[in-house]
Parts: sequence; structure tokens; C-alpha cells
Amino acid sequence: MKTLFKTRLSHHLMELAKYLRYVLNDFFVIAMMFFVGGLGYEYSNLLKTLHPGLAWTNWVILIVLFLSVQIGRYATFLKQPDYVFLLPEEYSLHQYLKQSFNYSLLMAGIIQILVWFILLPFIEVTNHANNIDLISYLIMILVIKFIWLSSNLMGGYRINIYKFNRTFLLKWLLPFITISVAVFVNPLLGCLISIIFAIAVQFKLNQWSHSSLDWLFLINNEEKRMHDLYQFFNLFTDVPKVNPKPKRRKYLDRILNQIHPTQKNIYLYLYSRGISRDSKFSNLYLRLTIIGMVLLLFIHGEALPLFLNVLFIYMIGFQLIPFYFHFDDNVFMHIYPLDQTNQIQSFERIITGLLLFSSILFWIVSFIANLSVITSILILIIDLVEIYIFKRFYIRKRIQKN
Amino acid sequence: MALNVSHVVGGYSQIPVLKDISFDVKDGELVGLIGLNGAGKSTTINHIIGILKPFSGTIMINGKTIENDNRDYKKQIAYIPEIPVLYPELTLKEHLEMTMMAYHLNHTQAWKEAKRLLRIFRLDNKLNWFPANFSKGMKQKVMIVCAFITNAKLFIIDEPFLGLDPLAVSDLIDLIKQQKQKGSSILMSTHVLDTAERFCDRFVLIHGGKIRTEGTLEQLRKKFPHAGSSLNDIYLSLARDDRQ
Repeated sequence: MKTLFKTRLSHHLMELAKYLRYVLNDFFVIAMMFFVGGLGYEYSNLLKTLHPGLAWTNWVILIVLFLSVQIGRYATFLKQPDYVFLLPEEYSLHQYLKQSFNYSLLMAGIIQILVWFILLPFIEVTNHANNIDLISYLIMILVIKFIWLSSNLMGGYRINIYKFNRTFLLKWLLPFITISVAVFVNPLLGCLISIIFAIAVQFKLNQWSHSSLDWLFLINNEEKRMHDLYQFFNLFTDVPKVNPKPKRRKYLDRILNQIHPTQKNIYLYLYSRGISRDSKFSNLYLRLTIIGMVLLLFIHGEALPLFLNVLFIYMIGFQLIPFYFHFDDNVFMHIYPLDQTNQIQSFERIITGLLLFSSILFWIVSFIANLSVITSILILIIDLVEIYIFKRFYIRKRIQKN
Repeated sequence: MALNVSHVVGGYSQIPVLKDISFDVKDGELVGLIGLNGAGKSTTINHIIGILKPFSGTIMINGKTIENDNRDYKKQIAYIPEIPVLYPELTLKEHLEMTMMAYHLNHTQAWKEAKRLLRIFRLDNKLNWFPANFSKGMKQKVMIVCAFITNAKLFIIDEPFLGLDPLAVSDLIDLIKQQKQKGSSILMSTHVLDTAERFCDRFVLIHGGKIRTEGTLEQLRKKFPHAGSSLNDIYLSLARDDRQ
């Protein structure tokens, strides 16, 4: 079991490293440096204007600390098949859970220390805090994080306490009260209260630590955590493990039902339903359309909106082309006696429809942003020409290349 | 002759899994394809439905081959895979419509038949759901309903009984019998030998990528008089012989 945790952890770290390579690409790092630098500059300017006795500053400390203890989840690295394969080993899994708990506490602790470090000058300036106060704050949030994570560990044991109570008490109410005491009464007192609670929690944990495990809870928790993590990485690169479930989108049925289920419409039927419900492609489409609209709303001028219109329509269309092959893995696409002659045409029709819809939205937004008749007429013409060329030549060429 | 497989050598990569396989399924006949895990049952089926291409040999359905008439060849097949294959983004209703479109079925008639089958398998209230979220047995039922509304000439059914409840197993057997009466042929691979014994017309025993033997239960008993009387006994004794 000890080695199991070590191998799982090293796998996890390797995976993180793999994806972080994509996340921390040059552009992102440079953008972040500017962003952090700018924020830091603003922050130091703000600090110069502060003095003790302001009414709102303590509330800021309370809110920031309260939110910071919510960051950092309990990572167990358990996997779906574990409940079958590790079932006979359940007893020794307690040790495994303890190890993963320590790891999670370490990771969350680093975040807490970072937040505390950033908040240090703020507390110092607004409260005339001495060193004991500042250290008390740090110890308090670390201890509260310990309690917070313990609440998750407790959830893994089959004991009859209601989940809502546990979460509410240990993750919300207790941190809120302790931090309030620290901020509004005395930091040292808040720190002592948190330690007393932590001892009580640890005592309970020791009592429970040999009860049976709630596998489903543990596994679901871990899967949800990993899913969120992958979802984040998915913003930067393709993560094969993120397989978002299709959305039913019943409200689109009325539009989709316009396509009659006849033999000649089979690909039209399939592609229209597929693309509107498949989370990956429909999200891609929505995301790009919304980003394009937001950008166009803030950009004025003559050439720039035109350029952005053309660029976004091309990007949307280009990103949707791989959907042509979406059903290739399905055995039945090869078994059904299909007439494949209108497959490309059907696909082109769907893409054209989607692009037209986006271009209308872009056009409306550009008009609102610029209020220029000439620009909007120009945009309309160029967009239509672009979509025509895209449909007439580009899609087919891209598909045949593949 | 509904299905004729002759001298097929084939597999997934360069190494052949099937080593010169020949057998046939006659019109209106139900043939059981029997073999251990890894014997080559699914590989055989993948060749028949055209997912894999044989290295050599021919597969013919009512005189048509994939090479000379892909569409007519495939129109004659209805396939129920071992592991249900479903579109994650289509509802049950849309899966049926897909099938109807693909097989050029008359929609009114096909829906009548579909409703009957859906009622049998208690799926008639789930038309607007995503079957991809169903349980294994229910997914399997969706595959069965889709296949049996097609009126195909040849049904290819891979391990149909796993995951089905006893009622559904008996309903499926009834459906297969009805299709047989209509003149369709069925090739079914299975491990559930006592069920197969009761209603298959003939058996093809496949082992290590070769046809070990074939024939009706009577013929098999005569060929291997010391092996026992049930299909199970005969098969076990053959499989054990081959292991030695």
C-alpha cells in the first residue's frame, strides 16, 4: 500500500508535468508576468493610501482568508476499478488515505502560505499587527485547512453523519467563525479556537479510522477532481480524458425536426444532431462565437472589425471541419448500406448554416459598436463572400486532404 | 445460400487469426458459431460485416461480395455487436430513425414494428432518452430492436444473451424464430451452449482460427460418439482434446 501511493503520486506528477508544459507556454507566461506585475503595482499603490481604522479593510481580510481556505482539495488518486481490485485490501487502505491526506495538506498549505504572504502588508498596514498576530493568522489558516480536508476524509468513512452537516460545519461555519474572531477580536484567540477544533476533529478521526470505506464517494470525489483539472488543461491543449457527455438540448428539437428523416437526408440528420449535442464541438462553436462578439463589441474602426469578422468566421469553420470524421469510429457507419455521395454536401450545409448564424451575430454586434452604415454593409458583403468560398471550395479540400 | 464463407484467411495485422475458414449458412437457417474466447468468432464476424478484409478467400451473401457490390452486400446484413455501439449524441428514437433511413425502410411500417418491439423490451417510454446512458442489458435491447426492424436477409448476432434478463432472452429467441420463418438466416456466436443447443439448426465449432467441425447436433453426436450427448459435453471434450 505504501508503494501504491508512491506509484500513484509519481504517475500523477508526471501527468501534471506533461500538461503543465502546455499550460506554461511562452505566451501564457508572458501574459501572466504582465498581469501579475500590473496587479502588484496596483496593490502597492493601494497600500500607500491605507491607514488603520478603515471600516471595510477587516472585511476584506475575512473574505480573502475565508475564500483561500476553500482552495485545495483532497486528492486520493483512487481509480474506478479500485473498488473491485483493492476491495480485499480495504483495511490497509486507511494508511493509503492518510498518506494522500498528508500530500493534499502539503499542497493546500503552500497555497495558504502564499495567500498569507500576499496579505501580510495589508494586515500590517491596516491593523498595526505585530509579529505574533501575523504568525497566528498563518497557523490559523493552516489548521483550518487541516479541518477542511479532514471533512473530506471523514466523508470516505461509512459513518452515519449527514454529509450536509459535515460540509456545512467543517468547511463553512467553523472557518467563518474562527476567522471572524481572529479578524475582529484577536488573531491569537482565533488561532487557539481553531487548534481546539482541530484536536477534536483528529480525535474523532482516530475513532473512525477503522470503519469501512465509502468507495463510491471516494472514487466519485477523485474523478470529479481530476475531471475539473483536465477541464482546465483542456483550455490549453486536447486532453483525451475529457470526454464531455453530450447534452440533450431539447429546445433545439424544433429546429432539428425540420430535417425530415428520409434516405437522402441521412447525413444531414446525423451531422445536425451530432454537432448540436456533442459537447466538444458545440462548446467550441459557442465559445468562439461569444469571444468574437465580445471582441467586436469593444473594437471600433473600419478595417479592424472587418478583419476580425473574417478571422473569426474562418476560425469557427476551420475548427468544425474535423467533425466530418466524428462518426467514422462507429461500426454501423460501415455496415449500414449508406449512399455516401451526399455526405460532404450535407456536412457543408450544416457548417454553412452555423457560419451564417455566427456572421449575423457578428454583424449585429459590429453595427452596434460602430454605428456606421458603410462599415456594416462592407462587413456583410465580405462575410457572405467568405462563407461562400469556404463552402464551395475550402471544406471539401480540407476533408479530402485528411 | 445466404452466407458463404470460403477459404478465408484473415486477421487484424499481418499475422492471420483465421486460418482457411469455410462454412455456410443456408436460407432460413440458424447457425451457431461456437468457440472459446480468442478462438476467432468475433474475428470471423468482423470479416463478414466488412470491418476486416480477408487476406485471401471470399465471403458471399446471396451471391454478392463486398468487392463487387458493397451496398447490396451490406443492405442484407443486420448486426448486433457483442458490446453495444451507440451514438452518444442521439436519442433512442433517433437511433431507430437512423436505422430506418439507412435501410430504406417504410417509416410507417417500420415504426409499427418498432413500437411492438419496444413494448416487448419495455423501452417504449424511453424514446427521448440517450441510450448511451442505459445499462448494459438495456443497451443490448436497443441494438436488438434496431436490428430486428430491418427485415435483413442475414442477421449476425454476437453473444446476444450476455447481460439480458431471462425474459428478454426468451423474447429474443422468439424474435429469432419469427425472422427464420420469414426466411431470414441467422449466424449467432455464443458461449451459452445449452440455449444454443435447443434452437440452433446447425453448429460451426471454431478453434484456434480453424473450423474444428460442423453439423447438426445429430451429426456431431455421430462423429464423436464417446464425447457425450449434449452440445456442452461434445464441445468440452473437443476443446480439451485440442489443448493436449
